[in-house]
Amino acid sequence: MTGKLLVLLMLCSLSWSCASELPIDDPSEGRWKQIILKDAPPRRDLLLACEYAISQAGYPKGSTDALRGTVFSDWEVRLQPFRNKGMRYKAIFRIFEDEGKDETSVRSRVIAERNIEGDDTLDSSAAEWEAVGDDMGQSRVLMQFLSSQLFLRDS
Amino acid sequence: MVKDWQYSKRNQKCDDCDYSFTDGEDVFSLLRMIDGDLQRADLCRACFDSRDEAADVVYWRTTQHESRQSLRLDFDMLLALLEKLLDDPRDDRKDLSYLLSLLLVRHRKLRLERVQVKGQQEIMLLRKTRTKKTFAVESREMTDERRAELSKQLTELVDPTRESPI
Repeated sequence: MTGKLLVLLMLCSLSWSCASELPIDDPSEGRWKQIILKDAPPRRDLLLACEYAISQAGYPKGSTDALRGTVFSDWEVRLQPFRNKGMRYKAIFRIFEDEGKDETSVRSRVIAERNIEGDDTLDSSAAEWEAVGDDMGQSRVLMQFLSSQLFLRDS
Repeated sequence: MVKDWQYSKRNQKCDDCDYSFTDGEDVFSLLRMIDGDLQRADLCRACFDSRDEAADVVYWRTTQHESRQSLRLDFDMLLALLEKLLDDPRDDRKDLSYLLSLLLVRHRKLRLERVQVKGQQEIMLLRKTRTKKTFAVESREMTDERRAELSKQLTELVDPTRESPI
């Protein structure tokens, strides 16, 4: 009985962790900016370039999943004294390799959320975040930072 | 021939007529685009005066000194080059200015502030680090081959390991 309960608990926690993960598996979801590389560097170098682009664009260091080919920044928080004005942003890169076509695509997006907390607007621990969709402008900037890493190798 | 060119090194001979420069003589150095390739040339006065000006990207006058090291294209010069290129509407100049601006972003000489979209075009709005001077550079779509070639030429342009005493 206890064993069954444990399995149930594990399944619950697994499904919760999947649900709380950002929706990156479906490239049609969200507003991705994309570049296609015919002569891409090795995956490890590509991931490093993505990490560096995120850093150059001013986002805090997040996490990299080499297996899934994803690079996340941490949240870049910009609190404001007025309700609904504080924002936070997370930058994401995703690498897709198409071995059939011998090309690699790199997609970027920047997720934005707004602080809807009414009182402690300048306290990040009290903030309540609400998704407001992607920031395409920042996503384009992010991709140009990556281009500066990839298009000018060895310079 | 272009692929073997070392841009930051100045020759002791005129590139167009093989005339040997003498110590203290004026030399006209220039970057020019010929058939889409970026080249550096050092010319004597006669060849400089009779050159095809349409191919010029930027030029400067210098003096031949046998003991002095060649002029290095530093980042200030590349910024000046970018400024000059942005006035030129030709496609090959636009390609070069896009890659040059990415190079300057990479080396933190320019700060990428934002990207504007005008129709199908993306325009990068850049600011020179620690100044208010701004640049608007068109983001260009290029074939991988074209990008690799221009990128290689730019790399050679700024690579100090390719610089050697004259």
